[in-house]
Amino acid sequence: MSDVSYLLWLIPALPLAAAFITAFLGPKLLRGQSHWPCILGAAGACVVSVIVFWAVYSTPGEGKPVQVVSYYTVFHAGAVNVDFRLRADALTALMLVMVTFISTLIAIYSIGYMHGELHSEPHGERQDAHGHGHGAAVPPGPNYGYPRFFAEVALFIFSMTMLVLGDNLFILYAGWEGVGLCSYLLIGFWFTKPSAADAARKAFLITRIGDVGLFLGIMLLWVGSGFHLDYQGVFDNFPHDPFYVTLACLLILCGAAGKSAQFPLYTWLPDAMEGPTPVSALIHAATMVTAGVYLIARCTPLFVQAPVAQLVVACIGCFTALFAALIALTQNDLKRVLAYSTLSQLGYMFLGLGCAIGFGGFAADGRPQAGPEATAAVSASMFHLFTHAFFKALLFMAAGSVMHAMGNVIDMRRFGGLRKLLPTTHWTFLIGALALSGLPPFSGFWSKDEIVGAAFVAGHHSFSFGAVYYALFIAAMATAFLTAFYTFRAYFLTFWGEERIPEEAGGHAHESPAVMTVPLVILALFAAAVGAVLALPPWRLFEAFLVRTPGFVEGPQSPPEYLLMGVSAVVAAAGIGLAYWMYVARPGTAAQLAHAMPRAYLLSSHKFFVDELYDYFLVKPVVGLTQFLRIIDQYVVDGLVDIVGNIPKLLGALFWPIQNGLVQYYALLMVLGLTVFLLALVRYR
Amino acid sequence: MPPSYLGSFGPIVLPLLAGAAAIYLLLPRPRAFPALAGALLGGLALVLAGGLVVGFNVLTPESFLFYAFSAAAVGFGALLVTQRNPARAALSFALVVLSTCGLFLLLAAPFLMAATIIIYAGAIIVTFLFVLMLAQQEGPSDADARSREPLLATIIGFVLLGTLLYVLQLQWNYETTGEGQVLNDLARNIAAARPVSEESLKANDGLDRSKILKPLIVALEAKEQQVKGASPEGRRGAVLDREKRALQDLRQRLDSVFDQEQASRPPTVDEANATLARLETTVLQAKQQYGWPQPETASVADRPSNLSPYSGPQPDLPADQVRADPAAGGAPYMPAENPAYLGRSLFTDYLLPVELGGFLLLAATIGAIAIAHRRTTPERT
Amino acid sequence: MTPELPLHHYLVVGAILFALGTIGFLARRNLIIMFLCAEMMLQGVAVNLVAFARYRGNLEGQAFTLFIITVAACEAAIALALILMLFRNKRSLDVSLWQELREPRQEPIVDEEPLPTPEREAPNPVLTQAGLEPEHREEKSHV
Repeated sequence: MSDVSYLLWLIPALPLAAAFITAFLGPKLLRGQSHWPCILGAAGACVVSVIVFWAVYSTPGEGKPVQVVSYYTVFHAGAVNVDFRLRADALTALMLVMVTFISTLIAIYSIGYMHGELHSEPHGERQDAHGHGHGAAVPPGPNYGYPRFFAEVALFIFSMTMLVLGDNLFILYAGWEGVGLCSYLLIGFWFTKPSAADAARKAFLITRIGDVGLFLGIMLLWVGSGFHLDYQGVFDNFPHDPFYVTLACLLILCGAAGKSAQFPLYTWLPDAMEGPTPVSALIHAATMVTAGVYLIARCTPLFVQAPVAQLVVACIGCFTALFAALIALTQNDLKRVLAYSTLSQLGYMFLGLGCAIGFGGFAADGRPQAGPEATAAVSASMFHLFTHAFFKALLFMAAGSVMHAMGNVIDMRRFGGLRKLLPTTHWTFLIGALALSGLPPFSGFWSKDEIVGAAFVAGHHSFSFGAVYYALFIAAMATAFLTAFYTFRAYFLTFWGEERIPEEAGGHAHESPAVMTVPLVILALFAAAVGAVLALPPWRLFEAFLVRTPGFVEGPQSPPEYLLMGVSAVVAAAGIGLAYWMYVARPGTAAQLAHAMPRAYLLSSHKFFVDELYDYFLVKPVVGLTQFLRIIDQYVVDGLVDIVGNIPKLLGALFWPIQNGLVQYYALLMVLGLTVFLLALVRYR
Repeated sequence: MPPSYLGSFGPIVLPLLAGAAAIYLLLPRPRAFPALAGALLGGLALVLAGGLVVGFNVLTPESFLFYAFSAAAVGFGALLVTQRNPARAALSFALVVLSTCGLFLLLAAPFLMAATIIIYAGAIIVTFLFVLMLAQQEGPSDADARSREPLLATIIGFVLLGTLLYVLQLQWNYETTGEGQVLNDLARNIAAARPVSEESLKANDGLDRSKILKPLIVALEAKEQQVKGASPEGRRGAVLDREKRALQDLRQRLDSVFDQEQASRPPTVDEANATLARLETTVLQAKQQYGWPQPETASVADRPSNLSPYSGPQPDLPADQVRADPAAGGAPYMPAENPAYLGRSLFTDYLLPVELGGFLLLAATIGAIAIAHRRTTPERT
Repeated sequence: MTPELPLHHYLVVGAILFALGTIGFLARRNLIIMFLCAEMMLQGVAVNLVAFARYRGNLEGQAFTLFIITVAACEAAIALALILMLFRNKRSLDVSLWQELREPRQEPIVDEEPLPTPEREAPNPVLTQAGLEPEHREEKSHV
């Protein structure tokens, strides 16, 4: 592999520099041009990522090209050595290219979207959770929104690239925390809005819960592997005791579930739609939420040693997918629908990872590796991650474009029939929706089909859990149907029907400017084509590339499962057809169904009351504990401190009567002192 | 040989208690105690003090005058403290001054007696009486009939007095009954051995050791008897043993001084004087070690003095000539010439303090006038 | 020739005078009497010094006493001037009237025990004018 060590550090460094420049020079100097450092930084990182990708790709032969560059030692204590090491291999290269490319496009898109921040009164999505427009204005005043946004986005890109590039769990965790922080900052971008601040805090706290598990897992891996933190060291040296491996994998899953919003740590993602739409596109569709998937994929050599953990991963993933799909059926907020669909697709990715069973034995140098079926499943997950990034980002950005035109109204019940009005948005949205639904030949079809195929294969090959995997396979199929249905429900409600425009649009609803539509078009091209290009058998370019990561074993190429592919296509088409029938052909059907099944409708539209359950069982006790502790702090601790503080006062009060102003008292005390002194002198001569 | 502590406390307790009770009863109060009780107690205290603390000596004119004057001083002092009428208190203070001047006279300080009477009783008290007549023309005021904390003041004052008397008693006991007596006798014997004459040296073949050391030998024998009498394990036995060993140590040291005499027997006058000087040194060191702080240097001959001959006898003057006036043929200095010597001393050794004292008087004069000057403008309080 | 009376006797007298002066200073409330008691303390010290001078055989103690007298005179002058000023302020020689420098939270100390009212002297008898026959009751004279 050609030497890219002199380039690797640029990938995180360019966005970091952009963040600093925007932060320090943006408010006063750059102002309206604050986007340039961010875009240049992201584009530069993208270029370098492509170079690294090319270096990995063009390595000749069958070897696994890996380059690890250690820049400096962070700390060194005895046998413990933690370096700042960056790693370039196939998996990393894939992630990097995807992350930086989409980040660049979204940054360009944001120029148009965040344009309103340049005025002193920030235009924002002043909507509450139910999609009603607020009349109350955000208080005016310069909050430097425009540079702040781009600085935070650049910081986010830096953290994400660090996460992906790190060679050891230390760097990964640092990047993990960094993306959590940037997510908090960006969700709460309009922090003066109470719901946005609450959503940011909720996101941070819930992912924090997951991070605790991740930290414990890292500690366990660190100690168990003899104080190694770099991936290869951990995989090689961690004892193969199934209990410990399972424990470590479950802890890692805890962290991944928090960051990737799996059940039960998913409730923050729908609320995270309070942030600006580019943020939703970037962070909560394409990059941050995929960090968990990346982590589990990276730890595949560990996971394949723990089938129980993998079963848990698969179950959680599948459950999340189905659960989120059920909720998405009845949402009226376009962004909420997309958020639940993100949850659902992430569930798919976890399902794919969970189906990566099959320990591949040890390689020649004693390194554990994943077997061929496991490799296929992991590559299916990663492929779905890849394609999902493109079409989900596209869908969010198109939704943002719709919002931009509709005057920040996102409730689908208030607008309709926008086909003619917003042509580019319409076509790009359609392509994204087709990709999401999994209709061939769009990209979603290929990736979703591979995951479902992996579940099927796991059903065959699993020793003890075969039946479970079969059940998961059925559930995955059902979820695919639901996915197609709700996606096209949203599409039809938005772009078909009679044309309705809400008042907030102000009468000038028009297509978005070019700076917003060009990224849409680019992404639409990718969403349409990348699946077919990369996954078309018999070349299977994506899998062939991913297999070059150390730890994966390439298996013999199995023939494509045409039956499975056909069933997937039919399922997707059925979902689209049902949506068409219910929302275009017979518009009243949905309302009738809702009336017929009021309780099911209620459960679905109220997100199965999970938030309320959490609030009642988890939040309220903690708040009660907080109040109790506050009382202790205020009265007991403060009281104690006050008492201690009053002691000198009390002691002093003992001595006040001495000073009564009478000269003779003072003389009396003087003589008394003299007498004592004399006595002491006599006694101790 | 350190003095015993508790034994010094006994004689002073009774007079102190009686005196404290007397003063407490006599201090002015709104409803006063009968004066007779206080006066009787005061008299009792004086008598007890005279008997126990001071001790009755042989009745010579000097001691009689001493008792008279000191009783008068103490009595009038008590009167000053307890008198309700401030004018009468001022007059009793005048009588205190007169009594202490009597004591000055007994101490051969006639100039000071006169100066004190003139300045104190003449000037200060008269000025005070003037101010009193200016301020309190109606006699004793309400404030004069009250005391501020009589009990506390009395207790504190008599505790202070007790401390002072205790210290004095310690020294007194040591000097008179304890080993201090031995040391004083030794010193006296050594001083009495001067002047050394050639005949006595020849007659006794040197200094008469046993005569000089007689008090020490006697005390040593007595101490050994005491040690035999007491039980060795008891505390008293241990103290006595310690004292005996101290006396033996002193005996050894003095003997060694004697033994350092040079080979030639009999010694010359100078050698004998040197031996006596060394003996004095040893005795002084013993006093310092076991008793009270002494002058730093050993013999009288080496004691430095910053004073001119006008302020006191020269250090190398023999002890029995200290008060001898060479001009009068060796007769002792008359107290009547005390003013002359005092004057000479003041203008030679104490010239600077005299000038400063004059300056101080000038400053006080100006200050008093400046402070008390009645301002023409209304005063700000 | 050493004096007959030991030094210790004179020191005792000086100590007693000093202690009496202390008690008087602490107990009495009249400014003049307080000052006189302070002077008595100085007298006690003077007795001490002169006794030491006698027993040491030089004039150091007497010279020191002379300076004490000097300083006492200066002190008396200034003290009287100050007493006069204080008197002008409060029209009284009571030292207890000057309590303003006490702690802010302290109450001033006032005399509570009342003084006994002095006995009223019997009024002077009223005599009739000389030369007049005093009135007398009618009496039967028993001749």
